[in-house]
Amino acid sequence: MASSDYLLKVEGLKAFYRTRNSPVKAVDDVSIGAKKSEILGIAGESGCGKSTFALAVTRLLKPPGYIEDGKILLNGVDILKLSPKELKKVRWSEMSYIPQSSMNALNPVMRIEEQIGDAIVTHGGKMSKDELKKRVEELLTDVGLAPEVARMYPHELSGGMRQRVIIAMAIALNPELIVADEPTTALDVVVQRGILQMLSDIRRKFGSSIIIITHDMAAQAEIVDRLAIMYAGKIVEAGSVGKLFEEPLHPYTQALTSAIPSIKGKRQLSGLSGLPPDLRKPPAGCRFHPRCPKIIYNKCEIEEPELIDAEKDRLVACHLCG
Amino acid sequence: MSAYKRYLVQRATTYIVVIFIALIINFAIPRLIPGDPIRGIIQRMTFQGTIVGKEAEELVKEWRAAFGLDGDYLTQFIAYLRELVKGNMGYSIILFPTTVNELIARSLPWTIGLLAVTATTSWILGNLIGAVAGWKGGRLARNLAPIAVVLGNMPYYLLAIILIYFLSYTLDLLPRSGGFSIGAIPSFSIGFMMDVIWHSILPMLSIIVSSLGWWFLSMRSMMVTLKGEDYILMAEAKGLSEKRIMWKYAFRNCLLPQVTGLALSLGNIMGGALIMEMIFAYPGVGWLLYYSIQNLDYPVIQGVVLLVVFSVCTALLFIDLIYPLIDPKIKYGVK
Amino acid sequence: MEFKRSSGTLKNLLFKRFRFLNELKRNKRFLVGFSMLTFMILASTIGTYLLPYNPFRVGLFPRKRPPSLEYPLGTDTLGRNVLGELLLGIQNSLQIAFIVATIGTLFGAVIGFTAGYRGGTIDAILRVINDSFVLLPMLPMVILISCFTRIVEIWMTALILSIFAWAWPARLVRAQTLSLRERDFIYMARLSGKGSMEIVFTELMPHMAQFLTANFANASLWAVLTETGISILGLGPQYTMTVGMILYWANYYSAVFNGFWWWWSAPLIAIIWLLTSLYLVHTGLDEIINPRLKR
Repeated sequence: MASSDYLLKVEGLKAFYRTRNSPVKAVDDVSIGAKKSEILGIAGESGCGKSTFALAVTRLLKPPGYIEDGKILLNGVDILKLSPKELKKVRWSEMSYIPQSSMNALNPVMRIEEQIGDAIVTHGGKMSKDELKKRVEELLTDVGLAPEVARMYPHELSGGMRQRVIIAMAIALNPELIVADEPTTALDVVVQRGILQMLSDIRRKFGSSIIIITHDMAAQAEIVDRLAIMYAGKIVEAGSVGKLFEEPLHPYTQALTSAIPSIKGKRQLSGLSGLPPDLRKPPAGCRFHPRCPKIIYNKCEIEEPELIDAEKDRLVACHLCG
Repeated sequence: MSAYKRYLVQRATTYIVVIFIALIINFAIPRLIPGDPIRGIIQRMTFQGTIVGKEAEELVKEWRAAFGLDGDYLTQFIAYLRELVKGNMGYSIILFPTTVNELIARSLPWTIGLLAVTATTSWILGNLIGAVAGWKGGRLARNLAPIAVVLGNMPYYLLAIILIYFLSYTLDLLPRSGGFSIGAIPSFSIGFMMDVIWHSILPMLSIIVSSLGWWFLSMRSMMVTLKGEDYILMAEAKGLSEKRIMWKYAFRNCLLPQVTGLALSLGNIMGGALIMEMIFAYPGVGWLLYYSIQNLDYPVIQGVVLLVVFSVCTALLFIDLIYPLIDPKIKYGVK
Repeated sequence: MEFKRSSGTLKNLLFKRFRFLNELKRNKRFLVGFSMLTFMILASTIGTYLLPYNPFRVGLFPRKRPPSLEYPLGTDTLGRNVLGELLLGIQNSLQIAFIVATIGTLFGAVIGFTAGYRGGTIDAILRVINDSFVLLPMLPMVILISCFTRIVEIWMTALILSIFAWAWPARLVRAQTLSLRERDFIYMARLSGKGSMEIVFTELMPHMAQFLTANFANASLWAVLTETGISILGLGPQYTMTVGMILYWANYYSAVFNGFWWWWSAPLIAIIWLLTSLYLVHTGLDEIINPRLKR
């Protein structure tokens, strides 16, 4: 794993939420990297910490959330150590963010062109008004929207259109990294496909790396290059998406991948019993052990498995795999 | 009909109803008193010594004709409306033969000045301070809040009494009453203007300080709530300056409800200003009203009341006209 | 649709009521405001009961005495004991406030609920009437009415205030009804086969009850405010004592400029106390109903 390959390298990230009692360990010692021009997927159940991960990586985590420890290296620079001024420069021009719900992500009292425009202007674009207008229209066309949308207000657009506007905003400065948190969850299936396709096109056209965070395994399978599976605040498996689906190593991954119905075969849909653990008091040993169908007694509930290389480019944290 | 037009029609209808109700009450109340209203007025005037004997009889005849009191109630009402449209609100009993119009015209500028300055200043200041307090947070803001609560809930006149006591009686800093010093001759000279301003400090201060509290609190709580909105997060993610986020993103969104709030409280503000004038003997419409109440000068009372209702409605209609220009949701309709 | 009153729904209602009371006990604002208010009510009621004289009568005491051990709040120009005046005044002001608030909230609730629940033309008509009363500058109207009919008794003041008191509650109730009507739990209730009457009672009522309580507090606040304002102008009940009337007489006899500071400061503090306590009760209730408001 040559470091130069990696655009983003997260090392030992711990992001918690303060509560009256013990903190919620939403992201507990996560280390993962995203290569240049790669689409990395982060999957897992609701509440496993993936949204917190997205917010932490983009340094948008708000109280009561806080980053306890770790390094987030973007192009070799630890963005956790940047001053607010330096951070603002990095924002959007090198790293942008697509939030979970597009419904409220746009300012209701500003026109679309102004909202897209102010990011461009803030980051030093000394453009004339016409140039700016053209650029905005260009971006809108890139995401498949008519240029007339620029003069509209958010409430005049449908949900799918709003999501596209947000994507247009996200690519406005050609950032190297785009973090998309559940970009398709609030949309209907047809629109979903369009959005996923668009993200794939963006990677192809502009060479950006994209981190897609979603619990929708089918979506992951569609466009992601590499996939990381999160459970209870930790990464349990990571690797190329093809291999992961074909040959899942971790029992949790096995359960997730088998939960997708197949048109072809009459495969039995199996689910997992139980619920995700309380992240204030995660289970001892392997966090998955209470629900694991392949548990090794006297090992899994005592000792926490480390994330190791099972084969080339495949990480897994399970006692079953060495 | 577009959403905008429909909205306007609805608002205009409401105001017409309001004015109509006011007119009816204005018309009906004096007539509920047993006896002929005009004769009652004339009687009082005679009692006051303003007019006597034959003049009185002629006046009664004249007024009866003008106000159609010979007909039934409907005719009277139509006559009443007709006179109103002509601008004839009758004569003041106490200061006969001054017409009600003249009295109102003399007092109106004072009230408008007072209202305009205080309402806008307190609204603007309150909103600005509240926005900064809500956005920045911190100990200062949290300590300001309870003070604002007490001030905002205290009616103007109470604050005025306190201020009068301290600034006027105890410290003898500011004049207790009047629009200008006794004996000063109204003119547009600098000296007179300074005198006017000096006399208006206390009333204006009372109104501003107590209204500020309310705007401060509402703006502050709105900013705090708004801070958690998704588009604020996005603005931060875009790396925009905090100033831009606070004003263009948060403040702009909070402003709309505040404008509505201003509109809704216009009636209250007006009432408060009137009371202030009474306390300070400030020569505006409110003081005119007070004086007329004391002396039971019915025509003046009716005239002032109608004027107040009418002007509040006009102001509200004006705000309603402007509002869609600020709020894109109303102008273009919601899809 | 039959109105089925199963044991389930009754238990449900009681449970919701119980939980509400629990919340009340925990909310600091409400507790502070409520205790302030209760103190006032108790003090004035017990006080006036124990008073050996009628505070309203003129000339029972030596005039213009500053506060002392004998006259804790001093006496005024008319020879009345300020403490006695104050106690009676608070009692009467509160009486007016609660009567007006009750009428206003009830009437407003009926109107607002009908408008919100029925919708359509009824709503449109009621809304125009409602808005008119909200916007109608109340003060000039009251001045007009009270000029021609001399207000002398408490019930007159209460009546006049009630005419205007219902407007704001009706507006709020209507908005609340509209939002509740569309909420998912109504659909769920319909799906599970409950009749519309039953829905009204078991689902809407508990919400509305809490909401109306907050409304009542707000209406009381408004009533105290308005009554004081009117009384100071001289349009209050002339034959009875309210806190506003005390201030009116104080102003009439130029208490401020004659140095009788005790005459005007006591009622002033009383009013501020009352207003603040009602405000706290109101916002406290608001916080409970709308937990999002808690900071």
